[in-house]
Amino acid sequence: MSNLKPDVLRLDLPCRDKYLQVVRLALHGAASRAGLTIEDIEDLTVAVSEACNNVLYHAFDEETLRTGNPRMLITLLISDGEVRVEVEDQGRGFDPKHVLAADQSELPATQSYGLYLIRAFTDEMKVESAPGSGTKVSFVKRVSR
Amino acid sequence: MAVKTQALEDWYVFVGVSGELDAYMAPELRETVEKVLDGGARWLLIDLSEVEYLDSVGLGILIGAAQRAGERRGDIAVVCTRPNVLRVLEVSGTKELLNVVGTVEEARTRLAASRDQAMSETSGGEA
Repeated sequence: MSNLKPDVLRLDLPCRDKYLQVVRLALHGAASRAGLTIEDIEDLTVAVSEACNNVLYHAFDEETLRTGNPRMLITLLISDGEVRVEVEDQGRGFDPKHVLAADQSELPATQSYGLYLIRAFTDEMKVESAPGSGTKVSFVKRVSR
Repeated sequence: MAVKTQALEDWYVFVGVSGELDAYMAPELRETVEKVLDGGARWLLIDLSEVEYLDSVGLGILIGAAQRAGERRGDIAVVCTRPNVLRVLEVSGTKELLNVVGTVEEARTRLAASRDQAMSETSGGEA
């Protein structure tokens, strides 16, 4: 990886499932600039979709989704041979210890495939969250050599 | 995304899916599968060979279909050929549960074997 600062791309989107494809398309274009292989990009595409699914399904209550203007913020940090992705929301948050502990099992329960797949398809994953303080899920994919 | 269904040979239903199976498009598949199962079908052949993308929401629908079919002593088989979609099925450990195979013919054979087994286990019942 180069020592140059990464190029930073930000998508600030309404929390709506119809924008998932927009995120995937942006990621695909950006990740190809970092030199990732098609397989790397496909893995990263699953990871970013799962992170956005977590925002769509868990970050906000029904009332906020219906009448508010909840957002999901996706930041792509593009370096030579590496893409770092951050998916943030200002939703209700949670204690990550519970989710991450439950997600360590080899075969997750149906509802917890999201973080399991992010972990499986990326090289690093980090979850920052607290009840009432929103959530940030970060992960990194490096080029396969 | 598009979903097509067709009842075949009087005993199984073919469900053909194409496009991107994500949280936005998955409800269409969920609705179709539920309608087919609510209609009494027990054997589903779900063809994902034209699906370009699959995430955990689509995966959840497939798992739900397998569980519902299993509850009525039926089964599903899934056709998948695209490497990126196959990888999600492999990594999630669901290939066996979903009877994932590479061709429609293999899927039909898998379902027929499951049906034969169900029939042999049912004394006098219709399989």
